[in-house]
Amino acid sequence: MIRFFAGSISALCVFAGLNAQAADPLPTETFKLLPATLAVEAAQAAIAACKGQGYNISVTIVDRTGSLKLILVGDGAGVLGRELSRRKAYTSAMQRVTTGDLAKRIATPGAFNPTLYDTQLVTAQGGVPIKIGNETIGGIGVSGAPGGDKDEACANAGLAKISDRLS
Amino acid sequence: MSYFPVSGRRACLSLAGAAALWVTLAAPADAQLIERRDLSYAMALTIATGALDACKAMGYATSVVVVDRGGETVVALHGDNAGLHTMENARRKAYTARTFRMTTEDYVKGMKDNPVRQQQITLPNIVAINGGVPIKVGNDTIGGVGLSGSPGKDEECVNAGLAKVQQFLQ
Repeated sequence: MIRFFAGSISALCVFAGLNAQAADPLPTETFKLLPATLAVEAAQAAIAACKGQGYNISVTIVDRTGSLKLILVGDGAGVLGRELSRRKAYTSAMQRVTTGDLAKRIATPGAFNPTLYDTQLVTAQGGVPIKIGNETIGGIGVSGAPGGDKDEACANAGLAKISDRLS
Repeated sequence: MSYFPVSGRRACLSLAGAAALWVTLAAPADAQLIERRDLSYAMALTIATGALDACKAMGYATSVVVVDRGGETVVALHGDNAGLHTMENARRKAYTARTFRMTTEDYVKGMKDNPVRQQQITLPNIVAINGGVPIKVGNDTIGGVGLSGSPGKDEECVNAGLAKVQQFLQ
């Protein structure tokens, strides 16, 4: 019996060794990341778009895992927006939708509501996923304009600035 | 029934006294409104990108944070390939430089002989690691910059960023 087990284990080891050397390696995932320079460019454009309408905002950009890539606080931006913009960016990156669309989605009766289980998620409009095709590579959040629709418009203006390089 | 049982005459006297006191209080310059200059967003961003680029040119992936007068983050940038801890480390360096009004390098130097300082690092957000520099206008500290991720060049990179706005910090 013991010999049988020992035999099986060594057989497994040989199998694992062969597998590692096989022409088709263990599958790995390849993905794209937003570089700091593009993040700065998008955030500056978002701040400028809102400033042009007289609104002082904060912008946060997070990567695909939801961790911080950039925070920019515009002149005269309020205190709440610093944190709220981060949570909007996080929500869009994690849920892969705009925060406005998430609000609509969970308003549907019987729909799954992730905000019950992750308290970092917000449904205030102003968060937009950063996408390459259908793939979400991060999120941008804007806060400080008088109204979530205006926040979202500035976030989109920021993304529009770099859209030609998001491929 | 009065809560302030004073005769009319005494009330008049105290009124005069209060007026005199008010004049004395109003006189000193420190009772005037305080005028302060703050970092602008454009200036904070120039410092941050300047510092990040300086380290990038040396081949180091770093993160940089600029805090304002109140110690709040106004710019935070996580450089490409920079370590996970670098953002938080940079933020604490910036905060430490701001609140103690000295570079974190100087802060570390005084540590060995200063038991108070050894306790200060138990306060939230304080870190005794080289790489934080206060942003000053004359003697007034208006913010702080912190950078993390390079092998001993953090402060050098921060200073490269600060050099880009030095002419406006007069």
